[in-house]
Amino acid sequence: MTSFQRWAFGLTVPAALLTLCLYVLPILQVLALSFTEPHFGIGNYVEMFGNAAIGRVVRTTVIVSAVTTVVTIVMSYAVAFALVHMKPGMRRVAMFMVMVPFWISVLVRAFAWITILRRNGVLNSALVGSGAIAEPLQVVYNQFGVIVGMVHYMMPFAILLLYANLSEIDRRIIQAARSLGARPLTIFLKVWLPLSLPGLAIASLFIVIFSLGFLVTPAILGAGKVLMVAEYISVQISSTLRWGVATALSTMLLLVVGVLIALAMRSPALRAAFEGGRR
Amino acid sequence: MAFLDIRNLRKTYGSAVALEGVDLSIEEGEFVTLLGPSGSGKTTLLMSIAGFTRPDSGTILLDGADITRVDPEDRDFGLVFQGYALFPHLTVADNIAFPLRVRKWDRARIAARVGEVLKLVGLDQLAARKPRELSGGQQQRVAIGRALAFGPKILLLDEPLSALDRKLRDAMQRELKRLHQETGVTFVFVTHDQEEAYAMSDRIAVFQSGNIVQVGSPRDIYRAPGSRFVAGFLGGNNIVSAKAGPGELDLFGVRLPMPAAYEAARHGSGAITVWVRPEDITLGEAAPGAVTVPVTVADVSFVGTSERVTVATADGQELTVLAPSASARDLAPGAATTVGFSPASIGFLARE
Repeated sequence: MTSFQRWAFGLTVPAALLTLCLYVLPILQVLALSFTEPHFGIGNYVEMFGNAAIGRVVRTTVIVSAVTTVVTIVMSYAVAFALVHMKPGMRRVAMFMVMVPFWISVLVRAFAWITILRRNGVLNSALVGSGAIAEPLQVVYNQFGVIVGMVHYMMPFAILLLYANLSEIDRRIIQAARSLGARPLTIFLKVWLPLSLPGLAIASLFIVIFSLGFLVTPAILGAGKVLMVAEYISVQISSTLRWGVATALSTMLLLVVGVLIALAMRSPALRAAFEGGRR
Repeated sequence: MAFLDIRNLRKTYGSAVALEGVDLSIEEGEFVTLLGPSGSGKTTLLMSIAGFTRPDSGTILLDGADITRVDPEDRDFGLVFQGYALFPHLTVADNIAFPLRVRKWDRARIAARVGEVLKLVGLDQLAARKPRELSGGQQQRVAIGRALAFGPKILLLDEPLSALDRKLRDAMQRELKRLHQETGVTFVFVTHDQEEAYAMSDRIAVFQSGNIVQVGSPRDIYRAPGSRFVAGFLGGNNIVSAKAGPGELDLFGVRLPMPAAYEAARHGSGAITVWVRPEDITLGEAAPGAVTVPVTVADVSFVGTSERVTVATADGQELTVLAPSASARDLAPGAATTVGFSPASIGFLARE
């Protein structure tokens, strides 16, 4: 190790210490609490698998996360695909529009969706006013509303991940397909889609993991009626003070995410995405 | 009427003119090379023939039918890209089968044709490999095989050999020539390498800033360059000035009877431009009837098969001589010697 490398390595020590103290140790404490609170043993885990209320929460979480991921990926792919086909000037404008939600707090965005979706909100007033429907639609404080808010939150991430992948595809390959006689639909299905698998895999993994532990948007747009794991944990910790169950659920969530990542890393497409330029 | 007829094709990018009204006729089964420095418009013409570049004006006729606005996928032309552009997710066999599946050939026919093509380009052993597992030369063969598989009306090649090393390039040149003869397909080949053009082409079209300045067989173009640009671009020619008097030529201060190739009307009189090929000049003792010029050696460099000797003439012009190593052995910069060349090897450039 040269002295410069030693020096550079030294610079990472504060960040490492911070991670250790504020991240690793608390997680270990969560793990410990799940086995000791309120009694020593695996009682919390037994309760977790037997409790019907927790079962419902888990089911809701899985459904909302799955639908959010599918909808986000499909819509984001369309946007990213359009982005790579735009002229540079147009692309700058479009990219700016994709980035705007990043600068607005997730709370503000959730409340904005309520303004739009609630019973006498923007959407329902417009639809009822125009005579398209007689009764306002119930599109918020239910799974639909939660999914709308979550998709909106996730899309910029997915778009950027997919755009990075799509813009790396050599356009001469697409031209080659055309010169060989392929029509646009064939080119999309046989060339674009297979070549974007790494991007699709990494974006999906990212969105699934993000959705599973999402708190703010489901809490506000679900208003307690769409209870997902993160909100349930938060309620157990701050309101009902059942720390044992909360920490056991947290541990399970962490475990599920870890298993998902481990499984995903076995797929060649994802490994290719992580290994990037290496061939 | 020619097989492929390009008429007055013009293409501009903003204020830059890529093609300035180009005409070119190509016969069926010909091997035509578009030769020129980078930015001279040769690739723009190729991409216009392929259908990827829309010309601003002019027409492209195939067998008499106007295809100027036909989409690339409807032209049935094979295109080999610089950098090959293989499908990285498909095997060699699937790359070659791609245009056949697109055309909805039946399974047995595709399998038979893929086998044929693999044999044609010498890749039968590598059918199951992915492109990234192949060498540059092998990828090149896949690209050519893929473009030939569906029986294209024309095969277009965009500097396909530029990424290969010299030895491989020589082998691929012979290979392309063989493929051209075996398939009988019309080849249109783009390159900036004149040796590549000479080695393979039936005819060469020389490009200069958006125009075709000369079209002819490799020998014609080499032996009778039509302009200073063509004479200079093709192979380190000696382009020098001379004086044309009544019945005689004053070259490097040596007066000689005017060679028969000279025509006052075409080449001008007074100060004119002539050229002499480096390989047509001998060092030292000249053959009888040759023009003998006293010179001073400026530089000697070994180029493998021969020595490239640069000499200065008494009137201050520079000449490059390609001489067998034996005749240049004792020469050092500053030495005085003579060079000789036959009057018949003097070429005259038309007045511009």
